[in-house]
Amino acid sequence: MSAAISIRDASKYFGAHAAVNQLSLEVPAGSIYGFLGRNGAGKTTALRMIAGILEPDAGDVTVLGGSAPRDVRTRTGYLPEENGLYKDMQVLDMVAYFGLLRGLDRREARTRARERLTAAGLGERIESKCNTLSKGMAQKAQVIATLLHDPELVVLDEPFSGLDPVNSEMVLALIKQFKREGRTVIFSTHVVEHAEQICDAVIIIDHGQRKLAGRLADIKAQAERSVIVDYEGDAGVWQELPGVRGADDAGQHAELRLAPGADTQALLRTLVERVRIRRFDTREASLKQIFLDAVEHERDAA
Amino acid sequence: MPWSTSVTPHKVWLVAQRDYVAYVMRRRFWVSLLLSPAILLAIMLVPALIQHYSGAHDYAVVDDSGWLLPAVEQRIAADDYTKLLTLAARTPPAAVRSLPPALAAIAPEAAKLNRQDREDLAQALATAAPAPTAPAALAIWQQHTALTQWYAGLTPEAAAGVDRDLAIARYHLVVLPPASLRGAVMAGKLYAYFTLPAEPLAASARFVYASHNLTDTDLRDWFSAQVSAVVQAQRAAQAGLSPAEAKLIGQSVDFDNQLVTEHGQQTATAAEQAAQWLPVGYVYLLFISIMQIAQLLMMATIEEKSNRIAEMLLAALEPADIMAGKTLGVACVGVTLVGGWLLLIIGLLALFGSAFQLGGFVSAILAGISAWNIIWFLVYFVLGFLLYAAVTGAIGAAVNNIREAQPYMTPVMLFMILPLILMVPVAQDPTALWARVLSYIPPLTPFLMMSRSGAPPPMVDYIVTTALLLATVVVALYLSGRVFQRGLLNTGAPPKFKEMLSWARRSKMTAAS
Repeated sequence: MSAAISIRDASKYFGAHAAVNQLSLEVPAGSIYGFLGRNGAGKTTALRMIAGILEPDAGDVTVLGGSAPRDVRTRTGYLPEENGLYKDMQVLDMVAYFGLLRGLDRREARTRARERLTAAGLGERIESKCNTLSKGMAQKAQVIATLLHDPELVVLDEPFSGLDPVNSEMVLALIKQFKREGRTVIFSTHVVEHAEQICDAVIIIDHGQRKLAGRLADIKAQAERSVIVDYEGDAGVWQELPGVRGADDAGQHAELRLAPGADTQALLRTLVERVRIRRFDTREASLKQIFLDAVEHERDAA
Repeated sequence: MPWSTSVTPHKVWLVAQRDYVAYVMRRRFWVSLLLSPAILLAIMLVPALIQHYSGAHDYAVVDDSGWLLPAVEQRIAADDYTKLLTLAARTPPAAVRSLPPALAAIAPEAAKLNRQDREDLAQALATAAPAPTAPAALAIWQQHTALTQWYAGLTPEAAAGVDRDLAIARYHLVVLPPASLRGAVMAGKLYAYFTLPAEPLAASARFVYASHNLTDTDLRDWFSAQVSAVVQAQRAAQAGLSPAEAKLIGQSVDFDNQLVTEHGQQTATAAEQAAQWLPVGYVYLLFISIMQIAQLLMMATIEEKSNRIAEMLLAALEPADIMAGKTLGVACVGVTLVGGWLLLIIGLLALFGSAFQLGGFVSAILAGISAWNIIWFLVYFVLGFLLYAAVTGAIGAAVNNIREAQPYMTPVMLFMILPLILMVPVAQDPTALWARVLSYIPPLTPFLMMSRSGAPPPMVDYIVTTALLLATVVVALYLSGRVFQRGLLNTGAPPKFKEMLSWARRSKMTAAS
């Protein structure tokens, strides 16, 4: 799969402060890629460089087959963190206007805007002023405006910020739909659960630097897993069991920490031979734990 | 990867179009469009209105001489008849029917009288003096009873309806017992009273004007002039001079205003004299329009920043496209605003101007406007606007709200108010060295050059000041473009002035995340 985004050693300074520091990343085309990090970690700066709003001070950022982001603006879409709407403009006009700016002709922009706003349940509001929309509606309208020109690469900065669970679900569904349509979606968030739900891959950024990046499955596979066991009998020394690095035994209940790549099937077979098993529950490390470990590690080191 | 300073015309046009429509659709725009000329008209018309609606002043005269007042009354009547004959003569045939019947009847003959005939006839009508000799005057004289009876029966209100310059429309002589005059003045029933001495021709004669209000000298000056003329004529007669000789001696000299131009020297017409003051109008219009729309650009930019629209736009457009588009859009708003004002002012003056007798003044002003001045006005409007827009656009992009913009706007406003303070002195002395020197300072050039346009500056001044201004505009737009692109994403504290300068110096686009 070719790269939709290629970042090589990109740095961005504000005064002496490096908001992004020698960042490198390949985002495969057609994937959903999450940018995770604490507030001020450099996510927005990275996304702005990808969207062509900012230029790196060092290194390279290319998108959609090696192009400078500013040269392919008609093929990318960018949704900033906060709602950017012309308050006094009618919803239809506002959405169509951003389509025009991204290269659509007037008629096409208005037709698409009308169709998509109606499909999104905003049909009755297309002639309303933008400042009469609720936050959820405004977010929808803004997403439609961002994507009216059917961009191949969609960049969303904190798309869940400030949304209630219903609207968050709506945005999640939209992102999944973009993927089905073959688009590449990158989005930043500090709500790790959202990323865990839909991302093919994630990057964890801290202090402008890459801490961890890759396919979600691979990251999880490399993270420490555990098994909860409820049992009767004498299991003997837990550490002698295959793939077990450590154990927390309470007599009839134990939590076993597994070594990376441990075979849980082999462990279960061994255990069944020794004790009576009432529960065997494999726990994958959560992305949240992985995130916290990555960021904690940094904090400890600092 | 250098950041582009060139623009894409199509995108600039899209931004300009949106901004223009957005502004013109706002209530604020229409309030500004309607209010400004309304205020200007009010300033022009209120004094005329006050004069129009304030009634005639009542006055009384105590005439100890026994002969002076009747002579003065005749003179006043003669003056009014002259005005009435002039009015009848100058009323176009189609409008004659709107005159009172007594005037309408004599209008065709009055039109045939020359100035001297009119004055002689007026004198005859006022004093029942010898009949005039001119045929047209004689024709009027023969049917004068209707006219004199009508005049004698005129109330001040009715007289004002005919011509408010008539003496009887402005001053009303009432007859009261001398002993009651002081009380009448105190009670507000009488505006003033005059005492004419028993021997008015004597050098030591003492004339008295008594009123509750000595600040308004209008009535006093008018009556004094009338009495002086009669007294002078009588003194001349005593000295053995004929009335014609007396008139010649009493006649004051009158300087003819002549305008010196490249083509020579000629008597200045009313239009030419009015045109001397046109520069003040140009500068005022330039100031109002440039200040309004430059501020509009700043507000629009601040608004887009605070709405977070700026980030959406930056993702779709080059900063240069955004700035050029906004500037163009706001400039079009300004042109619409100024055009709307002019239409409104001309329209209102056409509708009501004649009611306040401003028609002649307005047409004289309009006649004084030359194509040359209009061209330069437009050139200076465009360049002046671009210069100030470059500054206000950059300020708007750098700050987050109006409050933060104030410290930056203060020096800008000082520069803009300077030409407003200077406009009258420069219009009065447009060739002064100091005016010429100041007009070479680019931010002042548009205003000062228009101030000087009453006495057209030499071509070299036009060329050099415009070249300097143009160069300044180019540099200002270039530097402002850099501040603009860096400022738009800056949501932190507004930059210090020094920091803003460093933004202008560095080309790379940076902003806090």
